[in-house]
Amino acid sequence: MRTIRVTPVLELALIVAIVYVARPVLGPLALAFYIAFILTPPSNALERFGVPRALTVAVMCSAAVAFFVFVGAVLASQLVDLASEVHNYVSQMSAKLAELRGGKGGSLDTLTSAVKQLTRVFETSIARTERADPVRIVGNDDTPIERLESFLGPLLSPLTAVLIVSTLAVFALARREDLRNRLIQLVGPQNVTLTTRTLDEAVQRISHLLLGLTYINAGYGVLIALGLTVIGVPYAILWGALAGVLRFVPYVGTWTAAALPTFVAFATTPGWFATLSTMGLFLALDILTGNFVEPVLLGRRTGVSAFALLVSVIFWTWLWGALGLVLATPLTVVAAVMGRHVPRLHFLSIVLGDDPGLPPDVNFYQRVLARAGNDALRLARKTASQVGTLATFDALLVPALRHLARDIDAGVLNRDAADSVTASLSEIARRVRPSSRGPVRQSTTRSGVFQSVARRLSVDELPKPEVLGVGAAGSTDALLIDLLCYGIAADITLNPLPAAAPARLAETIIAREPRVVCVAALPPGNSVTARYLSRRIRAALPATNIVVLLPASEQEKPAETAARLREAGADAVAFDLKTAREALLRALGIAGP
Amino acid sequence: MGDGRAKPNGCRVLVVDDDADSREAIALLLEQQGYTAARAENGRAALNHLVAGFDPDLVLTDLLMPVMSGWELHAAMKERLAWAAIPIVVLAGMGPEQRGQLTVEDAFEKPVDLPVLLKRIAELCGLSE
Repeated sequence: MRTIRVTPVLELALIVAIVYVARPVLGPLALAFYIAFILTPPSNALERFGVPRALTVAVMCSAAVAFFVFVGAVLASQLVDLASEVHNYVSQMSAKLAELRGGKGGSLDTLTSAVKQLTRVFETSIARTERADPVRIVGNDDTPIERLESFLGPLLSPLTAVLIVSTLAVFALARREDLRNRLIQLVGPQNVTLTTRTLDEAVQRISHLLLGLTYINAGYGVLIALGLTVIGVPYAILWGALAGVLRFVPYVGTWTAAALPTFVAFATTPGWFATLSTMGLFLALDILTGNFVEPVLLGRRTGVSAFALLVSVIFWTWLWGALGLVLATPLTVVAAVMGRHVPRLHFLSIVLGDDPGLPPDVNFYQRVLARAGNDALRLARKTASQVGTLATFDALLVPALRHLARDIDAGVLNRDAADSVTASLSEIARRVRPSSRGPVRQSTTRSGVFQSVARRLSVDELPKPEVLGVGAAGSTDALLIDLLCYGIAADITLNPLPAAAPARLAETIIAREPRVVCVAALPPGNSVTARYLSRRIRAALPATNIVVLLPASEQEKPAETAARLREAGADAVAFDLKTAREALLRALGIAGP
Repeated sequence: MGDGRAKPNGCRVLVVDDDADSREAIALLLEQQGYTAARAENGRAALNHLVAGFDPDLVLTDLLMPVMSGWELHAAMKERLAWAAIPIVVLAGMGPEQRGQLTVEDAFEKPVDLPVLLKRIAELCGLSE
């Protein structure tokens, strides 16, 4: 039997087509659920006080209808008023600009002439309407039913939509548990606990974000309306409502909403006070909401990427018009949360979520691979300023070396490319290390544990303890030693040995008779050399303390590898630079933190 | 030790030879010296040991073997970063000309002088200078 495979692009196109065609059904449904969602917390609060469900729903829905009717009526009246006054505003603005005009030919002149032209176009259009062809009145043969139909016709469609949305919202609110149970049945009846937990978490996140945003934006709209009323800008309620709705659109929404009231303030009031106050009001409230209210109420991150939200607003507005603009944010938040919880929809959480696209270490390695060394350096420096040099090396550069080893092993990178990556990493490490920011005197750089030891001994010029550093094999191990050397420079002097064959390295180490030696080996390949060196050193220098730095991942069986290294003679095995530093401090007799 | 075996020295050796007697004899000898020895009848079986995580300190291999030869095993090991650093010692019934270009730590011609072989294995494992 032949199966037809639909490509993801076709699948997506099909879904978009269905969503577009099914707008009359899906639009009211989405709006109804959104309204029900907003009304759920106050309904729950009422029910906690013992108010029966039916009464709660009736109260909430009546309040919602009253609110929408009131706001709708006020907005409609203000909108009609504004439409009739637009012509006057344009003229007033033209006059105001003419007053402001300094000399002829300036930019203000150009603007004035543009406005005049615009006004002329309006006037011509109005005159044409006034000189409309005479209407020939013919006998009206319509039946009363037909006349009723022609009167109610234009109202019927919006009224039906309001009725459908209200009814659906009432049902969604009244039977919310029933709907949830049906969803659990649909999604995973075999694992009710997991499905319930996932659903609860999803609903919690959606509630948190969606309700938070809705209430914040509603409050923002109210404050704008109040502020504009105080300033004296006409149609303040209309601008407040517009600001509340458009604030769902990140970045551009607020300023789109600010443009019209600023224009009206400029046109209707003398001087600049109202215009500047209007702009100031939007600016101040936006800064206050974005930087203080939202972080406190929603947390630092909303869970949805601002860019994805912008694209989503464009997409839904294109698909569903004004309804799409209103529903874009809720739909995006729902999609992002579903993407986090439903494995098959995981791509949605990647595309829409505000998590970084790549983990920091992968992002860093990718930048190095793409020869965007400056990006990688910036990332490393930023991390170093937050967590310190050694932790930055552990978080970014050591994982990058592991990624590099894995790519070489998989044959994705050839040796030349790998050498180039290693050289870039080496350069970044050199430029991130603290001493690269300026010459540092040894006596003033002591810090941390060693500094406290120096103070206790009252020795000013106590030389830093020395450790011999050995890269087991190849340039990556040598780089590991460099990283450790830069990272612990404040406490310990690490003297790296030049790379050589294992036998030659062992002879050199034995000849130097160090008190402490640190052998770095990047798994998976170089642990064999680290074992070899440990055996040789242990046999020849029983008193030498051997610390092996082996940044192994979980897949590389770190416990087993460490056990074999200890068996070969290593005193300590560290899986990261921080632990290596602590082991070296212990080996030198300085208690680590 | 009661059975004449030395104390385990922590080193693992992978013995690869299609001749079962020769393979077993060398493996037993190594075990008596304290090594942990794994046996493989050809290059493919040896690679299976490596993939399974045996992680030897040394590979002792014949060259002429069915299924996968010593040359192919050598090439496969040098290709993978995880195995490239493992020392390889060739133990084959042929001279240097027939062995060709191989990046190996050492090569012995059969019949081998066992004390010399054991001394070299110990050196390559870091057990002696």
